[in-house]
Amino acid sequence: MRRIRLIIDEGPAEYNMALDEAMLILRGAGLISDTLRLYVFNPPAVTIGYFQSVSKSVDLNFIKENNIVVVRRPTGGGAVYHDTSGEITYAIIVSAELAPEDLVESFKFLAGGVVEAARILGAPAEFRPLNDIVIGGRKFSGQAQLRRLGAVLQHGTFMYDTNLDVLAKSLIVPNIKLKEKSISSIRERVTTISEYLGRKVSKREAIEALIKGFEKALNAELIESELSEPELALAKSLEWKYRSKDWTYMRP
Amino acid sequence: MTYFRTAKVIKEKGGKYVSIEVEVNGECVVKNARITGDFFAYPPEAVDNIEKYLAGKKVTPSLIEDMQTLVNNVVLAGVSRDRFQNLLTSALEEVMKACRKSATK
Repeated sequence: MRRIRLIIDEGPAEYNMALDEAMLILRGAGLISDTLRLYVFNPPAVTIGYFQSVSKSVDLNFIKENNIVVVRRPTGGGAVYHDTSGEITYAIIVSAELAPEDLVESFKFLAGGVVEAARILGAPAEFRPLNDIVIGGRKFSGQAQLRRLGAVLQHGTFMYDTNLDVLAKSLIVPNIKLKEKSISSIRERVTTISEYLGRKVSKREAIEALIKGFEKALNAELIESELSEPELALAKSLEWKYRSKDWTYMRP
Repeated sequence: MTYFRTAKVIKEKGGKYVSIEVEVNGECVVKNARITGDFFAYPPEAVDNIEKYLAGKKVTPSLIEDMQTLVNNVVLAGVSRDRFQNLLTSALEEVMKACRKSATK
């Protein structure tokens, strides 16, 4: 059975994005082993995809009024709302040899733990290409991926009890997308595990389900560990980028 | 100084959203080229390079031809390379036509 390092973590958006990038670089250089990091954004944040226009993806007035920060990710994909007490993000950093070369297949393979975790909690989740995981056709998890130096970083969400009203007010979806999906607002398209089950899922339950889910999906034993000095040092040196307006407003 | 600006968007069924905005001055020199959306591209910087390549250059048929090579360097997901290429080309052709029309007035 494969052994994968497990990190359980919590921190601000700038730290989380810097650490994900640092771990990708260090995995590519062979300085860390395959790792799954489960983390919470504290304070709440919106992350936007590498190519997104910040003003066209996020209601900047609403998030400012509600003390929600916005940070651009190093990965593509769409805007995501991460609340502290309703969402867990996973980042899996592995050698490219572990993931299928085909992008959709690799999204599905590396997100398998999210599908399994939802099923453990009682929600019939399924992967929907390109990068979504849905329950009854409604999205509760999105994935994004970056490959560098022979390593893969995939991160994604696990909305176990996200405040979907805040999510819907924070994010802007282009009309062309709403039209294609025949919906009038983003709220109709998303759900949480708690909403589906009709009971409140706790953070602890969600983390335990994710650990079991990833062990099953990756046929691996997860070994809980601490972050190393090189990871923390490199993340610290990358944090300036994720804190800078030049980066977040790179595509205004 | 006269400016022309165009914005083209696509969202294929089951695919991702792509928007291409091009802004030129009265001399048909690109002031701003912006490619945005929720698509994936590898390496991401290859898309930044397209924007940087266009900035400050006059829009000509030869510049439009150069896009083929630049787009060929990108692996895209959520939008096909052909659709991406066509969107970029049509945005540039539109501003080039607008420039020509203005020059003949």
